[in-house]
Amino acid sequence: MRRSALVFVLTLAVPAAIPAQASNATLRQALQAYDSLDYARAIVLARRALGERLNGPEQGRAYELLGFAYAVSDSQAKAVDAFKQVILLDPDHQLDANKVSPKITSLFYSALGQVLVVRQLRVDSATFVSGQGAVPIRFTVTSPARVRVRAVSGASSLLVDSMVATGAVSLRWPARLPSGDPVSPGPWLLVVDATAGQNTFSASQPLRIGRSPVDTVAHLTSLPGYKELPEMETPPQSWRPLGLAFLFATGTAAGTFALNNGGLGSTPGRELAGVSIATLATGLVMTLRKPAPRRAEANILYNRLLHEQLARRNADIAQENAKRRQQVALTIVPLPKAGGGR
Amino acid sequence: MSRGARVVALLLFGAAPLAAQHGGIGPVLGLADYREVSASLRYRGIGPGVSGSFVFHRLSVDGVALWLQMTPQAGGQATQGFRAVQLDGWARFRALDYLTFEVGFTRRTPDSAFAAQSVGAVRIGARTQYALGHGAAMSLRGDYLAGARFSGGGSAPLALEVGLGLDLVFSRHVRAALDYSFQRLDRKTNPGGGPQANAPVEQALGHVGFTVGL
Repeated sequence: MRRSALVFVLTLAVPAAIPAQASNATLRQALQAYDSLDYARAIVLARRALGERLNGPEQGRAYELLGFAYAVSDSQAKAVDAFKQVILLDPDHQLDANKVSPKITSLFYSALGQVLVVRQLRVDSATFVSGQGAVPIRFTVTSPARVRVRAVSGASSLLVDSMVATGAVSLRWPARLPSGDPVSPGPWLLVVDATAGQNTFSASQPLRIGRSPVDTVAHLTSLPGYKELPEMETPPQSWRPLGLAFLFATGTAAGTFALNNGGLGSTPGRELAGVSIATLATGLVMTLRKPAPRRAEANILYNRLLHEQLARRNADIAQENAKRRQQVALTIVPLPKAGGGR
Repeated sequence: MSRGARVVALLLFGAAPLAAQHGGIGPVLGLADYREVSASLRYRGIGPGVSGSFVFHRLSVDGVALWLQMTPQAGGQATQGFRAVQLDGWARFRALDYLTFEVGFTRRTPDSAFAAQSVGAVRIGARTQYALGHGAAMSLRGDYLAGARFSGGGSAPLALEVGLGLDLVFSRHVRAALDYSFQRLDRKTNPGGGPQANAPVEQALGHVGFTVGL
């Protein structure tokens, strides 16, 4: 690609990445010069602006403008130096890859690899029972370094982890003291220290840790989906009592007739008739009378098993609740950062 | 009571829950029809008595004593009545809800040896029972009357009994019982050493009574 075409492409890509607003007049003129494709003038004005009194974001903007202008002017080393200053001023600074040309983006990443910073320190909100969970921590170390992650609250400082790392790092902090007890509630600061030779960098994230008792489980009065069955059942009315009374009476009569010795005369009937009539009358009464409720053994057994199961479940719940009463739920919420790293 | 017997009694009855054991005793009224040798020697009787029972888990013991006044029936050869003591006893084991095995005895003793035979035998049989409803149960039984002995001698190789019983429970302490039994004893004898002769005996006995529970 010819040089003029490359400059045209870079120029098209840049303006959207650098906002034109600035309170410093020199910086504003530098941004206008850049917008007018007068890169040499933009570089001069930006350097002049850096010599003036600028606040942090304006300094970052001035160095970023320098980086972009040097990149377009093929002064790559100077562009990388300018981007390094941008990164040191704002470690979390990112270029929008959709709006910035790949050449500038690659120079920016080149600058990232040459400085030691801890970027994009993120702590997720989390709620968990102490000892049964942890809060996720993520950050990126731009170059190989020894990294120590600490949690600090007042005079107490807990080492979360220590490692040699580069690139993206993920950790989980159980928020427990070395004794195993949960950390005290209140404001905490998560500090990530990176050290490589003489270079050091620290990033921090304020947190608020809350403690609350763990909810206990209510005891069960019934098992969902299972209902107790009636232990007494009234059987349906039937003719069975009368039928059986008739069967027993006729059976006895038949036996009597069969046993009777014909030589001793006709079968005696007075006693047989008396008891048979009483039996049949009782059978008739029992047939007509509403049957009395009787024990439903299967239902009783079912209910007993249900009660045993319920008692077992409640015993488990009581055991679980006893454990939960000794537990603490931790709620960890990241707070807005007051400033960047150093 | 010896010490051993007391220990056994304590183990048998003391350890059982009250619901598993109950007993009762009460008056009964008996009706009887007695025949011997031929149709012309026939008596009918009525008389008071007493019955008792005791139930312990699956075991039960029942007994009835009746004092019957037997009267000859019109048109027969007998001219004089007699008094008889009828004793019946059963020891039962309820094997199933509807089946009970029983052993026992029956003894009938007339006050006059010339009026009727004195009879004694051992019962061996079974009983089936069915609950008609709440507080009412009936039973049908059949027994073999083994080893029958008669005051006039002889034996009864065929001696059977059938019976029908009805038990009514009015309350925990008051019960009523009706019972019917028919005995046939094919007595054979050889008076004076002569040829064997048949002298059958039959008795139909019914009684109704109340027991007051303990």
